[in-house]
Amino acid sequence: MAEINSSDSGSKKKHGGKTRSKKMSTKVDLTPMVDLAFLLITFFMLTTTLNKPNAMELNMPKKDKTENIKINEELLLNIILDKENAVWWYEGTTVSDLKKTVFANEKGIRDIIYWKQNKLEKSYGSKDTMICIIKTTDDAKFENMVDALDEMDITHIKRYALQDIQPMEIEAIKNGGTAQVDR
Amino acid sequence: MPKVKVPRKSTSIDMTAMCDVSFLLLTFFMLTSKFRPPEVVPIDLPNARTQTKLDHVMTITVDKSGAAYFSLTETSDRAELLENMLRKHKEIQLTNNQKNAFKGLDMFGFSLAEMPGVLALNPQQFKAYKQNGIPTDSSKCELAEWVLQARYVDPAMKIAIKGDRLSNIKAIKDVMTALTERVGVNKFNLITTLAGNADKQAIKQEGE
Repeated sequence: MAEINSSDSGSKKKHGGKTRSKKMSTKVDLTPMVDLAFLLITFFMLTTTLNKPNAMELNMPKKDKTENIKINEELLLNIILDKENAVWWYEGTTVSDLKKTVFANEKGIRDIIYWKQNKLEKSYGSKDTMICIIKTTDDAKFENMVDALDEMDITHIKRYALQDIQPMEIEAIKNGGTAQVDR
Repeated sequence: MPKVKVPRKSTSIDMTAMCDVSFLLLTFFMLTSKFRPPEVVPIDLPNARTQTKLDHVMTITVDKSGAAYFSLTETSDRAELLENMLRKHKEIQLTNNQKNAFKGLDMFGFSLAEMPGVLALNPQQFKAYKQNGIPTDSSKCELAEWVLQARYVDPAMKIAIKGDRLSNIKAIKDVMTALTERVGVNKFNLITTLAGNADKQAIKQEGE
């Protein structure tokens, strides 16, 4: 790729006996320099865009809205996050029988969500009717909450909310899942 | 009749112009990119599948012990934030040196009462100083004030919560209640990292 030296220095040598300094071309091959510059550009472009953090968006309900929305109890799935990555879950609104599971790809909370979705699809015709309520005990870690929100994303649950835990549920977890329902 | 000679042309192209352009771009990217600010507290981010990128945010960092820190990326925003805050808190007087020190802070986690003292420290002393976090408790929620004032600086700025994996959920919830109830922000972002281990990779593929 080098520049062709067009000055005929070769022929001049034959004529005169004098040793003349060669006339060098002033042009430099810039190709490697361009290569290098583009390499650096690519590097800076990639590093600047990759530096932005990943984030999941979270919308909380407005606190001043006190109107009660009536929803079908059957659509509800409650998920309670506990210490040591444990997950408790129950359906509906009556705290009666909490079951314990874990975060896992299989045989964890995700299978339960899928199971519930299938159940609702059979009876209501759509998976999107499902409502998930996420609650946490005070011993849970931030990671658990992110995991739970991630599950919502993976299982494509459109309606979910974070709620404060009820004293009844804390009681039920203390008793290993079974709550004493006052009758 | 002599043949028409086709003049031989050089195959090489003048690279000067291309070199100029590429270096111009290079300079641009080098100048616009920022160095990653030094980490005041190490944060181990939780894993998630989401890949939404965030730009132009104020970040509330919650570390393992539950202490909250606040950070703005732009120095000019920081200066304005401090002015706003001082206007509200007339009892705090800062010298110009202290104000400049605040502008240089990428992230801070001290209460307003501590502020003049901390800003007067020299860099070495500051490094050794253990920041206790911005108070988030309901009686004196300074974090809410900082966020509110930062929103006056730029209402379009998003709010991100950067929590450590192992930080207690209560600390995060305190921050969230401060935001929803005191500032009136109901929409915020949780900063996560893309799942790294094989287990989480499987989730990703399954989800797609």
